[in-house]
This record gives sequence, structure tokens and C-alpha cells, in this order.
Amino acid sequence: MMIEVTDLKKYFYKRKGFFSPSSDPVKAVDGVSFSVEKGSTFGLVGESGCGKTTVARILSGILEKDAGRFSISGKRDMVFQDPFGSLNPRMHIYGILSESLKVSKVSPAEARARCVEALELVNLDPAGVMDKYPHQFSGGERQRIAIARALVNRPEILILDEPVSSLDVSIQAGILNLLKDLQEEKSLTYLFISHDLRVVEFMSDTVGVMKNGKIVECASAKEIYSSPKHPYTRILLEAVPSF
Amino acid sequence: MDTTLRIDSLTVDIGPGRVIDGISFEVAEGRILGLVGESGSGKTMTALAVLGLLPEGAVIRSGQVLLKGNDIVPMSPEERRRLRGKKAAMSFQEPFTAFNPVMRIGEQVTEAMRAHGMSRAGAEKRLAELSRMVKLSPGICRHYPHELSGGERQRMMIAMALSCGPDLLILDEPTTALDVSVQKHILDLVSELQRRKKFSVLFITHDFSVVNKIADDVAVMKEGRIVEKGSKDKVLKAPGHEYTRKLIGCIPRLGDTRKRLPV
Ligand SMILES: Nc1ncnc2c1ncn2[C@@H]1O[C@H](COP(=O)(O)OP(=O)(O)OP(=O)(O)O)[C@@H](O)[C@H]1O
Ligand SMILES: Nc1ncnc2c1ncn2[C@@H]1O[C@H](COP(=O)(O)OP(=O)(O)OP(=O)(O)O)[C@@H](O)[C@H]1O
Ligand SMILES: [Mg+2]
Ligand SMILES: [Mg+2]
Repeated sequence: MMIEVTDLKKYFYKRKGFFSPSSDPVKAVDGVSFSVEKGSTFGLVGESGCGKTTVARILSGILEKDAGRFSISGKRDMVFQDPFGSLNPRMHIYGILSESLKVSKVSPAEARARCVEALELVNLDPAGVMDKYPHQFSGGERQRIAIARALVNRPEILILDEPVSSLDVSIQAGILNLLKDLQEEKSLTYLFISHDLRVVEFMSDTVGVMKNGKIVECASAKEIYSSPKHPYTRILLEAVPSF
Repeated sequence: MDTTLRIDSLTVDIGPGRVIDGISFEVAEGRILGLVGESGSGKTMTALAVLGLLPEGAVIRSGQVLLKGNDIVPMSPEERRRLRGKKAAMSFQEPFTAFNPVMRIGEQVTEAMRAHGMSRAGAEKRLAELSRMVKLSPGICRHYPHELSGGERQRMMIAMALSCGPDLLILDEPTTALDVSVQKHILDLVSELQRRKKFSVLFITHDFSVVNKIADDVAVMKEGRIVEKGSKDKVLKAPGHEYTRKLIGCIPRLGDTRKRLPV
């Protein structure tokens, strides 16, 4: 297993008044377990606020867990839900993309080549992008820069939190195909979080459905979509808009 | 019928780049215009132009932006500021950066209302009401922006845009972090309020199922231009432009067995 999560918990303590003691916590992640095989995609869906991003942030090592265990067997990288918040506003795009390469002692020429390649893969023109700053892009362009930044590092495991949520459907399709191609070529492992159940079906081998900090149903994508067992999964699938 | 927003041959440059290239469209009173299009085609810039919030370095080369008949292009920054909130309000594409990180999220919403003359008590009551409307527990208003989930911030942003009862509501990708059932709730809420209060909506989204559910009219943007516009039924069911047809072909569907999507 590339990702193995057992009974993971994270509670946030609610803010009361200034002096009143904080009482009942928000149980953002409340006993989550799942595992992801090498070369496969685990789709994580669920209610807004159910704890998906919290799981992703714990697995990428930027948030401490409160309880439980997890293991990640390989180089990981993450694409954050808020691309603007995750791109250093004072660095130009080349700096942002190549930053992680400095620690891995990649030569400058190789670093540049990798950045160019990654930007081309996400459908951005490297020459027009590298010297600019994050605020000079549209929402969807920044989202693609965030994906390129993760790819440059050549991770074995990618944690993708709503990675295509701001892309027009044509560019979205290109990115989804790209992720699938890379997975086939390099046997990458994905944790793929999205609110779009059509996208999740297209991408995932296994799907976990979360509600209130817990995974309420977890099965192969085929089973989830053809015979959902949990009432909440059914509610979600019935709410998928047509068109 | 009166026109809430009319944009006439608007052209905007940023540095050497043309980001909006002579676009014209209107949002009639009490109607919802869905604006879809390519990533980077100028949808957000169009919305920012309406609010007088174009980024530094952006220059309006020509054209008019008429809000209820008044052209905002020649207005001073102060005059434009006065229009925001009541005449036109916007829910921004990236709520995380639109909110002040060091101020409790609820206070940011009440501050906006108080700037339009509402009393503190009135604003707080309205805040509780607005948060319930967008399916958030009022307790969340005491949190700082980073303490909310992506979809919670997005809903707070929508609540803030609604707070002063604008004539024109601009929603820029308001459903990108909402699960399908909360999304349905928000779309129903916007339709219901819009019908009751008769305001107009410019709804920017890349999601065709959202447009299909909410819009009366649809405009499609590509490379700074509007390539197609018309009634929703016309644009979605019988698209006239090749680019619109291409987009519709790329939409993933439930039960799709394709190994790769057309791009
Ligand atoms: N730093 C924090 N302090 C307090 N509460 C928090 C904090 N971070 C997250 N929360 C709460 O934890 C819950 C889970 O948040 P999380 O961001 O994981 O949700 P999510 O499933 O990613 O939702 P969305 O789909 O809306 O992005 C939410 O109710 C949120 O308000
Ligand atoms: N501050 C800026 N300086 C220079 N160029 C900018 C700036 N902000 C945006 N742009 C460019 O202007 C163009 C239009 O951007 P805009 O944000 O309106 O796109 P959009 O249609 O909203 O795209 P998306 O769907 O990706 O959000 C893009 O090519 C973008 O790179
Ligand atoms: Mg999230
Ligand atoms: Mg935009």
C-alpha cells in the first residue's frame, strides 16, 4: 500500500467568547481509515465541511493529527484547494516551480527544462508565464500553475484537493487525461478530492464518501456508482445535476 | 424592460496584453446571465470592470459599462466605491484571498452592512439570518477565514454579496467548492431570492449543469471576446459557435466509460 490511514482523528476547538472556556470541538476528522494501492486513485467525496481537506493536509504533513496512524510510502506532493493561498505572492512562477528542486540538487539547466515541461503539460505557455507573479493570472491559470508545481517535483504520490475546480471543461478534460497518462506511465498514486461526482467517477478506482468527519461508505467506484449502499451516498448521486 | 447592466464595446488592456476585446452584452432587470468560457478568457476581468475593481495596471481603452443607465467608466474611484454593495455586489472567485485573514469572518460581513448605514444590532441579526440561508451555523461567524473549509468560505462570500441587497449580483465561480447537495441548495436560494427581490445576476461558471439550472441567458467567452450569446435553450441545445460545441463535448458524464475525455 502506498497510503495507509488508520483511525485518523483531528478535532478543532471552537471559539467561544473571550474568556469562556472552549467546549465541544469540531470533529473535523473523526476516525478515518482507508488505504490506496500503488498506481491507483482513491476518490474522496462528501459534504462541504466534512473533513476532506483536513485529511489531505494531515497526509501532506502540514497539519498535526490528534490520533490514529498513517503511512505514506513514497515521495508525495500536494495540490491545494486554494491555489492563490498556496503560491508565494512574492515569488515569480519560475521561482515557485523550481523551489523544491533546489533541495533535491537538480542542476539549473535540468530545473529549467522540468519547469518548461510541466507548464506545457498543463496547457500554459512557459515563456509568457515564468517571469510573472501569481496575482497576474486568472483563477484557472493559477490552479494549473499549482498542478505544474507539484509535477515538477516528480512525486510518486499526489494529493489533489479540488485540482480542477476552476477550469473550463476542455482544459479540465486535458488535465484529467494528463493525470491518467502520468499514472499509467509512472504508476503514480492519487488521493483525489472533488465535489464533482462525474469527475471522481472518471478518475477513481476506489471511492470514499465522507460525512461529518467519517467515511460512511467506501467501495470500488463501480459499486459506489451502480449500487450505493449508504443513504448519504444515494442523496449525493441523486443530486448530481444533469447536462 | 430596464437594463440593469449594459456593457458596450468594452476593451481593457493590462500592460501589453488585451484582456477584454470589445465585448458587448446586457443583463436585463430580473434576469440571470450565465457567463461561461475558456480559462483566462476575461470573465473575472469583466466582472471587476463592472465593480470598478480592475487590478493596478489595467486600462479601459474604450467602451461603456452602464449600471442602471449610468456609465461607470468616467467615474472617480470614490463614486465607484459608493456603488458597490448596493448597486452591484460580487462574490469573488477566490474567497480565501478576498477575505481579510486577521479579522473574524462574521465581522467582515457586518462591516460591509454597516458601511451602508445599518445599525450594529441590525447587521448582526441579518448576519445570523444570512448564514442560515447559506446553510452555515451562525457560530462559524466567529471564526477566522483560515478556520473555515473551502465551501464554507465560499458560502460566507455569497452571504456577504447578498447582504446589502444589490441590484446586480455578480457570482464568480460560486460553486467550485460545494458538494452537489449544498450546491443545489445555493442555486435554489439564488433563484428564489432573485424571483422575490427582482435583482439581476451575472453568474460566472465553468459548470454547464449549473448554467443549465440557473440561467435565463448564456454568453460564451474566449480570448477576451464573446463568441456566442443568446437564450439558454438556444446556446445549450443548439450552440451556434464551434467553441461552444467543443466545450459541451468535453463534459464528463455519469456512467461515462471513455478512457480519455475529448479536449
Ligand atoms: N483551523 C480550524 N479551526 C477550526 N475549525 C476548522 C479549522 N479548519 C477546519 N475547520 C473545520 O473543520 C471542518 C472540516 O474542514 P475541511 O476543510 O476539512 O472540510 P472539507 O471537507 O475540505 O470541506 P470543503 O468541501 O468545503 O472544502 C469544517 O467544519 C471546518 O469549519
Ligand atoms: N493582474 C494581472 N496582470 C496581468 N494580466 C492579468 C492580471 N490578471 C489577469 N490577467 C490576465 O488576464 C486574462 C483574463 O483573466 P481573467 O481572470 O479575467 O480570466 P477568467 O476568464 O476569469 O479565467 P478563469 O476561468 O481561469 O478564472 C488572463 O489571461 C490573465 O492571465
Ligand atoms: Mg476542502
Ligand atoms: Mg476567473
